[in-house]
Amino acid sequence: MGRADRAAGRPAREYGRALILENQQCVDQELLRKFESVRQWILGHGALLGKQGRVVEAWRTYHGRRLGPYFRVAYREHGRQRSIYLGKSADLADRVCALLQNCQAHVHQKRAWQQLREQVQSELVSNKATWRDELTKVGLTLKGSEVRGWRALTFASKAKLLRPVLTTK
Amino acid sequence: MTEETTDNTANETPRPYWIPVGLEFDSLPAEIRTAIRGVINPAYRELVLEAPDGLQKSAGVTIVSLLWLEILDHVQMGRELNNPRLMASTSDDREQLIARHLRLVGAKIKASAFSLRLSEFREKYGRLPGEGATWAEPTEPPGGRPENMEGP
Repeated sequence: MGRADRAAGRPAREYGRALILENQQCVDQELLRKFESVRQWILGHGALLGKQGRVVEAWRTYHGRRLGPYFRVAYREHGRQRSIYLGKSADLADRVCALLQNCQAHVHQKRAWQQLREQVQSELVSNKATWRDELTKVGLTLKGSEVRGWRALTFASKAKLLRPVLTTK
Repeated sequence: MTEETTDNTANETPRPYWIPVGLEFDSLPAEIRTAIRGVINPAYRELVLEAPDGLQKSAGVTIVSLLWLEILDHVQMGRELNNPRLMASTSDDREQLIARHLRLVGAKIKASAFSLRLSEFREKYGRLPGEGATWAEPTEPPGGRPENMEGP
């Protein structure tokens, strides 16, 4: 396309724009190709990456210059840390990150669920402690979730009700 | 927060206090939100807000917490049955889950039984020995009032 334009004698600015577009398309295609291969690999290792693995960024120093970020998918396999190199493209890294999040959604969901449950559980513990204190005030005790001491309480209440009768007699 | 959610949470009852401030009501799964509106909030209102004293309130809060946990378990088990990816990995895990759930239901029944028994006790004997005089004495002692009994 670029050569054809030049041959057709188009202005330099238009030619430059076409060249940029052409390069951009090449880059996009390359990213798509790369993403597709990573996607296939991730889906092929669903059991492994369904529970762990994340996109991490790293920086390098070359001749005193800080370069990067360079992205990779980091995961563990048989206790060893491994990674798939993604390159410098933040766009590709975002896409892979989204794909991983999708694969691991059920794990995150389960974790969030567990957190919510633990929160309610700890509330329950403190509520039971308050209940236990209140029960102690009236002479009852809490064993597990069962309240004990009713018999003594009934006896005491009956005695209290009958006391006036007895004193009158 | 959407208008619908604001209406639902504001009009029906106060939102249960154990839902942390940082946790968005909308971020909870739809089943949980429905359960909060339909089951937990009415129970909270009846057992806690309308409870006459500290003992009833503390028992009520415990019952509502147990109810809340029970609903969470219901939803979790329902989801796992529908989605094999979420299913607990082994049958042992599932058995543990069910056993835990049954223990929870048992605890809730015991706590509810206490609440009923306390009401019965008060109807029969008036206030409990350790309580203040906030409770009205029963009109009749068990078995009828003796002829020469003094009292209110």
